[in-house]
Amino acid sequence: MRIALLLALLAFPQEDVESLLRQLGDESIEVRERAAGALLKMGEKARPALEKTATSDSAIVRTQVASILKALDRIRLTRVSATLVSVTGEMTLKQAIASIQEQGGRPVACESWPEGKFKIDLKGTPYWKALEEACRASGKRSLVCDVSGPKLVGDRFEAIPAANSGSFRIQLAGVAERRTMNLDSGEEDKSFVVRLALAYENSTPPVRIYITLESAMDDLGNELLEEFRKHIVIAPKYEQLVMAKDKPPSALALELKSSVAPKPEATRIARLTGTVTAYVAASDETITVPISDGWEPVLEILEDGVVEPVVGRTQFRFARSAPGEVRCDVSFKSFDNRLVCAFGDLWTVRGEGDKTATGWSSTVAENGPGDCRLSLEFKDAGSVGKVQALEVSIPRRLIRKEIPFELKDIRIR
Amino acid sequence: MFALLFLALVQAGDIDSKDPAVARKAFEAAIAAGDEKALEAAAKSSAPARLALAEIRAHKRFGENYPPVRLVTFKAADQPIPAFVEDLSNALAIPIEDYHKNKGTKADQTVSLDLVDAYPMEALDGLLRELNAQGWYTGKGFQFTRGWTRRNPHMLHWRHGAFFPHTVEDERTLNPLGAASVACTLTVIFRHDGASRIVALRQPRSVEGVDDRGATVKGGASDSDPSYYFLGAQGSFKVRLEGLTPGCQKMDRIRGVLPVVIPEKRTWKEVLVGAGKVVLEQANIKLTVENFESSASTVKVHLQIPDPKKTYVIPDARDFELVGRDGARLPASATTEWKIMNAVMELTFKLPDGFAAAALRVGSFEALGEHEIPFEFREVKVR
Repeated sequence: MRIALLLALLAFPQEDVESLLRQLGDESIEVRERAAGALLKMGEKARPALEKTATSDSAIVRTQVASILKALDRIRLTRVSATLVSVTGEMTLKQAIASIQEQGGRPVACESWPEGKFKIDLKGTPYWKALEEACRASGKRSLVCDVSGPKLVGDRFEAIPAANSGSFRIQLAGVAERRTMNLDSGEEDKSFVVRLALAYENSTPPVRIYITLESAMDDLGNELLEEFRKHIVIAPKYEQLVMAKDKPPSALALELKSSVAPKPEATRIARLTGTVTAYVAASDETITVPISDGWEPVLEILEDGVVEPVVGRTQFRFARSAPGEVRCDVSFKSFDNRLVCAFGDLWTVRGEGDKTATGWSSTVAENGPGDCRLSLEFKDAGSVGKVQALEVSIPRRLIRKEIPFELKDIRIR
Repeated sequence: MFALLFLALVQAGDIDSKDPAVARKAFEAAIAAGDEKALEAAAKSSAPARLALAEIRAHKRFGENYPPVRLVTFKAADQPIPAFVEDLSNALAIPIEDYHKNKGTKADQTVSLDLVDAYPMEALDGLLRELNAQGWYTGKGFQFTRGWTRRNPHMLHWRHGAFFPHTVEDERTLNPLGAASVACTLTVIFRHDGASRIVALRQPRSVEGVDDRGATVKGGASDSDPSYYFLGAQGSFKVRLEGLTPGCQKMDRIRGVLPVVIPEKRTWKEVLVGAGKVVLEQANIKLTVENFESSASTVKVHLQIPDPKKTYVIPDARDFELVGRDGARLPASATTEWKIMNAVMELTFKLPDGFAAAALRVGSFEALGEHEIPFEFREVKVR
């Protein structure tokens, strides 16, 4: 079927959407398949017309349209490269942003659009850069990112420290000095926090995020890195999972925390550099772990189009800790297999006769690459009998995207 | 006659007495008397009378889900711990259990406690304090574990509930454009006893106070909704303190009301003997009653909560009755085992000789109502 589609795509020139949609109801299966392939190849441009046709009277058209839309969703889901947009001419900020939106990316909010036209000339510019350039050209709004989506705020343009990479943007979201007092014990906890937003285009909500900090220094030349690392990194040299479970619609909030505030004379962080590694789901397949020591590859990392198998070795130690309970310690002997063992994932243990019990991954101990342990506890598992398999609903295939950032001149006071 | 006596109490000002013990006794007596007309008159000039009136109406509205409170007077002097726990359990009429079954308790270790007209939570907090323990309500009663106790100076007991401010968070922020803001947030823990069937907390209302510089402080809504954990019968809420004077150190006073959610208007459905597995959909909870026979003394019910973020009412033994062929109804006792957001309830019935079941009655609630509980703390350090 797939080969036939590809051949059909190569053999026929591209046609208009309406004509191809009509062909989806053709009596000939070859014509139908050729039309479906051509629509898929047109990608997002065909989506509005496909969505209108999704309620067609013809069952065969409906089925094919649903299948094409699903495939488009999948393509969109697995995209980490930036949408490239072009905007040229003299226009208002609202018109410029509307033009960028039409070409892809997220809707952009603005409480009140400024009046006045300006000249802009963007050709093949990545989405996030285009938004910022439009604001810069207008001189009347600044681009901020938060969980509700990109917003244009203020009454002038200010370049907020940010870095773009593919469909992602890391932007300063603010700084905070916090003091928490426990009224039970009288103890105080002080912290200094740099908040970052990891914003992404429509297509790319990541399922796992890791952050590595490389440098952090205030404007007096004082090193801040080690204090930040104490709170975000368990094993200092390695990455730390920042957030995994929630998938907010537009951006993830990252917090770099330090228990020591910068010196009172410091007014800025001169430089903050690092890399965020984002993993985007490339499939919804559930991983099933067979119960044996020395578990071999189950995970594939898809990076820049290259399928890269990961060799993993896994050990399981099962114990029935109490009547009706099963505990399981899982050791992952490969760095990238840490991706399957986030804190708070829901696991299922499957036993004889398809009986199951569920449990959360409760503890993750990480001693660096090649040594990661996960503790699973299954309550009420007395009836599962001999354990046959462990299952966890996480993506079997992921796209890895490195997002380096260098943020300069962050005002802290 | 009683109403006249009550009116005399109110007129005498006992309910407004500056002596907390006198005021509490008069307050509970007013609620027990239930004379709404007299309280309506008194409420024009008396805040406690207004609260007593609201409590009477809440008892009527929510029935057994928010019953009247019985004050406890209890005295133990140098009593061995197991006997002390048993006596307090009897005085409160709830099972109290040491989680560690008295392990590590020395035979000659004794405790003392003197309570006069205490609320149940107050009595249990007294127990925790004396035993250096922490405790929580379970479905069956109260359980404690020794080794650490909470010594919060602001503990406030009020009828079925207890409050204490737990943390103060003072945060100074700069937004990405460099604009500065200051926020001070108070987190308050609320617990309640097992007699009241509270199922959720709402954002506190009418929160206001005065800081140590004399400035009026308003309590703003927090970004986060109050949390509630039914298994421990407790939750927490946050209050943003708006208008604190720069440089102030404490709040002289802060008060407000906490709306709690209580189910009301129970309705019943019947599951017939031998009907097989029957699924009953209630608001955000699904009950699956396993098949049972007419001679069964136990029935299994599976509970499933589709959306844990939404409010739900966990059924308990009061929500089940076994109906005999002769129409007699037997109350249930229940044990519940939880696994994540699913649970299995095992209902047990004491069957009289010759009893043959015809159906299981399953109760649910038509609505969730709100009742406001007042709180006030003094001398709370904020910086």
